[in-house]
Amino acid sequence: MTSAPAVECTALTHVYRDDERDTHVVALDDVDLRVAPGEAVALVGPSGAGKSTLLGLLAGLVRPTSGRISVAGRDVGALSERGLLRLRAEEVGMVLQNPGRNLLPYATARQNVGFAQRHGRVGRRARRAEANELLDSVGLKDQGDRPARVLSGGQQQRLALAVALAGRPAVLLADEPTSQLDRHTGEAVIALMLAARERHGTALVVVTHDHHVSEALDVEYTIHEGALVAAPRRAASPGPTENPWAAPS
Amino acid sequence: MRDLALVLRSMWFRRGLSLAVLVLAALVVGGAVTGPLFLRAAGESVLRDTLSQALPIGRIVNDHTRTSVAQHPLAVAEKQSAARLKALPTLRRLLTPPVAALEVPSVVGLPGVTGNPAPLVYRDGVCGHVHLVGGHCADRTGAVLVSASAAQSQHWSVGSRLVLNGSAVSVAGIYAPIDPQGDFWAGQPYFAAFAGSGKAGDLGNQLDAVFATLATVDAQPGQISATGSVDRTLDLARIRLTDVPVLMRELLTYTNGGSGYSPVYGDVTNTAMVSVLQQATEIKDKLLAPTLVVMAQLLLLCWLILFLVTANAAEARGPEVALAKLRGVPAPVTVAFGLLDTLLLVVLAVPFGLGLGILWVTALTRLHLAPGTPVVITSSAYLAAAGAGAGAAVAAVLAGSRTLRRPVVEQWRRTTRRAAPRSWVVDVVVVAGAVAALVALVRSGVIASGGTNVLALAAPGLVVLAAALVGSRVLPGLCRAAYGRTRRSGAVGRFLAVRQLARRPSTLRLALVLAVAFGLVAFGVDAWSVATGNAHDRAWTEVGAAEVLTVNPAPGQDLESVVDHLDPGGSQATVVTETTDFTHPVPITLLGVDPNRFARVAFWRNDFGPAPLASLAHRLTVPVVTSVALAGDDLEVAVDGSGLRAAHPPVLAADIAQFGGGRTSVDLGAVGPGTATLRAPMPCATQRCRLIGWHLERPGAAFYPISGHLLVSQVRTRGAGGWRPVDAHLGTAAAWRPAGNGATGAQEAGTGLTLTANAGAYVDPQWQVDDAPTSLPALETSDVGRLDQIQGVDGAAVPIHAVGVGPALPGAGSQAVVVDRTYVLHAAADAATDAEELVWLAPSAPPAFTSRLEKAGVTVLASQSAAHASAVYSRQGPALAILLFLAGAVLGALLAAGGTVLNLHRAGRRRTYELAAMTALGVAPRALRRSLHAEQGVLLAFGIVVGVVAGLVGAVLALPSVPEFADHPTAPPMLYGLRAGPVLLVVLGAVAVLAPVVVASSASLLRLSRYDQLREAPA
Repeated sequence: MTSAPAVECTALTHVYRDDERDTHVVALDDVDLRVAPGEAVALVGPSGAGKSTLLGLLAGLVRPTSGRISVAGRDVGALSERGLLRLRAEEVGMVLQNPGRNLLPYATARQNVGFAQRHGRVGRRARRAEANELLDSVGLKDQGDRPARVLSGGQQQRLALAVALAGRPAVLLADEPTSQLDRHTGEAVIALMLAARERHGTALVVVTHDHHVSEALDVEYTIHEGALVAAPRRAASPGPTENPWAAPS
Repeated sequence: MRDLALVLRSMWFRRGLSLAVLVLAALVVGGAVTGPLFLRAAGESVLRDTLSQALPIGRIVNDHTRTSVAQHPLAVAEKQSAARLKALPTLRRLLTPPVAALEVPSVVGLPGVTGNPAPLVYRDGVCGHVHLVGGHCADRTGAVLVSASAAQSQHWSVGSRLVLNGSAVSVAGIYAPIDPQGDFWAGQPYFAAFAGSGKAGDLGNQLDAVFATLATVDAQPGQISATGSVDRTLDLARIRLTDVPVLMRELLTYTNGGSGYSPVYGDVTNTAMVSVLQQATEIKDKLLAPTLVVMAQLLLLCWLILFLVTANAAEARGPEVALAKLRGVPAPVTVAFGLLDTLLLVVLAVPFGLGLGILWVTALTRLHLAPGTPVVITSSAYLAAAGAGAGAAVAAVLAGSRTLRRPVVEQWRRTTRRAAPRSWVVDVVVVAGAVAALVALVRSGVIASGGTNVLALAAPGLVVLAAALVGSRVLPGLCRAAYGRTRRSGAVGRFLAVRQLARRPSTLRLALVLAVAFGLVAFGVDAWSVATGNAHDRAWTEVGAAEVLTVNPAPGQDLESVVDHLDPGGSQATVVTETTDFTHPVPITLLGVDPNRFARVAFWRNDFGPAPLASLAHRLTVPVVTSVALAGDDLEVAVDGSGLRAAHPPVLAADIAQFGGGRTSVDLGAVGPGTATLRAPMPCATQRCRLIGWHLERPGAAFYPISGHLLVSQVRTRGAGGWRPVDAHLGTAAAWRPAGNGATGAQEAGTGLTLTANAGAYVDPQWQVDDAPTSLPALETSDVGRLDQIQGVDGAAVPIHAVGVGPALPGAGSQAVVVDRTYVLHAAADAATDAEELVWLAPSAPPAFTSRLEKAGVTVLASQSAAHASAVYSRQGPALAILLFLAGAVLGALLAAGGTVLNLHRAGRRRTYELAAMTALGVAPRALRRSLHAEQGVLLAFGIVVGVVAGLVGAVLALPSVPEFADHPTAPPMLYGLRAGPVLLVVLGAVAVLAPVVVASSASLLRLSRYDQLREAPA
């Protein structure tokens, strides 16, 4: 039996309207996209192509002009605002480009993870254990009590990843997660994302300009002027799955 | 709990902003609380002022029983008074411990000398309220205390043995009363000078009280009537406004419904406390309406400012709210997350604000209200604090709702979509509404009608609001108009500044708030300056000079000579004789003055008359001959009656006025044909006299006519030095005038003065020395209406004619006539029986002048200070509403300025990316700094200027209609001219405070803009 795709977009179209100037911009035009559970997908394309718009639609942050979106089997377009919140709490994790935007700067690393732990009725002790596990998985076990603003850029992005994975989401959306990091750190972050995919079966949808990142993922889609203009490129081989931050066995 | 912990951490993280919100919210709460606290304090002040200015009987409850000594009236009075008070707890609590007194009429004098009447008095604690000039307190039976004035007039000394009601007593001490009109004496007529008896003894009037022990008084003959009394004074330090209604009820019960007589107990109660409390209540009640009108405007302003401030606080949390939504945090938790810090700060601000409000009102109370006024924290203050907190919470929720509703993706944009500008429709509706309300105020007569109405206080808010709305629209337009010029000038700072101001909707809000706040401040400052100026002028006009002493000169003492001696320069003091003519529908005050001194001592304002006071006072004097002074025991006149034709020889009488009052006729003797020297005794040995004139009488033959002429060739008087000639102006016919019917003239005759007569039956021809005009020149107020006569100082009509008319005269207000004192006394034959003698002091008079007067033998009965009266007027109900307006407006301006700077700083922070970008492009930091200075400076300056102009327009429009006094004074004319000076001072002060803040804020923003912000690529 085939499981439901992690993400499925059908004839997805989104238009930005500027009523003041009476103009409109077609950000996405009749896009079809399917991401299988546990699949890692790269979205590439020039600036302004609509990549971030697609991520926003997948996260339920924007309502599409037309078309259908399904995330973890849920029809995003049919969800109420409350439903969208639950979707993001339970099924969708998101990592933004700017590490600072992913986190509460004054909260500790552990508190930032706890802020995202909204799924189910989990007791305080269990939440703390889960948070520690997440921090450990991204190599920040010893940074739990430090405020996020004092961490380095790379540490902040790893923390953002831990936060995004707090709900064991079905889909992890990442918008240029490595653009502000050096290459080594960026690769480490990607490795962590892939490790999470292996561990939890989380599908990854990563917007990137970095071909090193896109080559590490399973599939690459190119978006140009709102349309998927090229067939998906299958990766030659799957990317690294080991967790570079895991303690040596 | 975890979210609460995060909120607290975020508050600490943004502690600068949190502190700013806390302070501003506390100021708002403080402003809200100021109204009820000040209202209560003002009421307490009015109560204290009214009670303290009343006569003692307005503060004292006096119970007395009049029986005989044998029936012990004091014990009876004490017992009955205590019994009645038992059932009246509030009255009992607020009255001081009783002062008991027993008084018996007595006749006292040296043995063998006819005594004088004097009250023999026992009074609790009397020795603590007199100054012992000699001896010691009377502390045993048979010892008495006598007054210094009685001792002097009766030649008593310490140790003198006196006979009092037939019994022997000895003088243990000689006293001078301390504060004879103070509350301890309860208005009892113990002191002759203050009871109107003059300095007793010489004239056979009652002497000052003789104080003795209770045993001494009780030992008086049993059948003598005695009055036992108990005096209780209201404790002004203890009374509160809330006591007044109960106190009035209990007083009415105590005084048996106001009658004062208790049929049950048989004693009598005297008090005027109920009417004084009623008066205080009426004045206090006039505070409520203006306070509400003022507070409504100020609270709206404060709420608007708080809305802006909390919007800033909510905006700062925008990214975290977006993150919460991104992480799927449930909506209620996100709302709490976004608002909780502001709400916590608002809650914390409530007690702080309450404290601030208390401090603010306490400072106002100490500075301006009646001494001893308490600041009572009323339940309405607590309610106001809670209400303000709730209002602040509502503002926070409303202001934060935009941030909460903003989509996540919009929050991530570098620049948000342009926020919807304030709708033109809203502005037009509000301006139209404000104008309509103003028109309604004019049409209904609230303003510009010549009357006063508390609703006039709403006018400045309407004017300022309308002007601020219009002005805040004009500013962006003006900035857009400057685009071309700033582009061409090449000055980057100005270029950026005008564009920032033009394109941001927040500019409109900030300009509006600043203009409203400073408009209200400008009105408040001007209104307060006008009110204090009018209070000052009214007080000085009514009092007349810096200080006015009501005096009682010693019998026969020439008060003018005393003042001349103490102030030879004539610029520090002047004597004024005052009386009131009650024969007109509105009583008219008549002042007899020394014109030269009056011009230099009295308060004058240029609009009081058609010329300066010196010039007008000069018109009061006309050339007249000097008075003919007589001194000595005998008067002699040489006459020749050969020219008289009468059935029987008439009798020549000299009409003499005694100094200090009294006219007497001295019959010199019959005038027959031929020359004769007529002599008669006259009562001018111990005091000066003045010859008024002569008249001819026909005793027993009045029905026969008399005509012809009488020659008077010489006048002499005999005193201690023998006979001396008197210059009776016999060589100057113009110095004499016929008076009344019968006398036809006076002519010089070479050897004397020829007096011609042609009198019918029953008419006695009279001739008078022309030492005063027949019709007195007078300064009159226009309300008096050009009188041709007025009731003089002896109650008789005196002809007058106006030589100057104006709206007010010092010392008497709008119903006044001022004449030369010498003339008006001459007109009354120096018998000023209905008049009060006053000494007016100029501001230059030394403080010791009063004591020097007293040392010269003049008793000072009362003193009135213009400064004190001015302070009291400025503490009256309506004036206090203006003070509240000013106090609240200053608070509002502080809020507005603080909120504006905060808003600008927060807006600046959101622009640090573009500042960093411009720095990266090569724009010099100095230019950016100038841009920020210019932007913030133009906004602040524009708001201040528009506001101040609008506020002053509001003042011109509304001030004449704003009530300043509890009554409706008729004089002097109130002045409402703009007081630009104080307003300018306040504006300069605001600029001085805000300028460094602007500079510091700009420097801070530039420090925050860093190159590494540019690493973030736009979405």
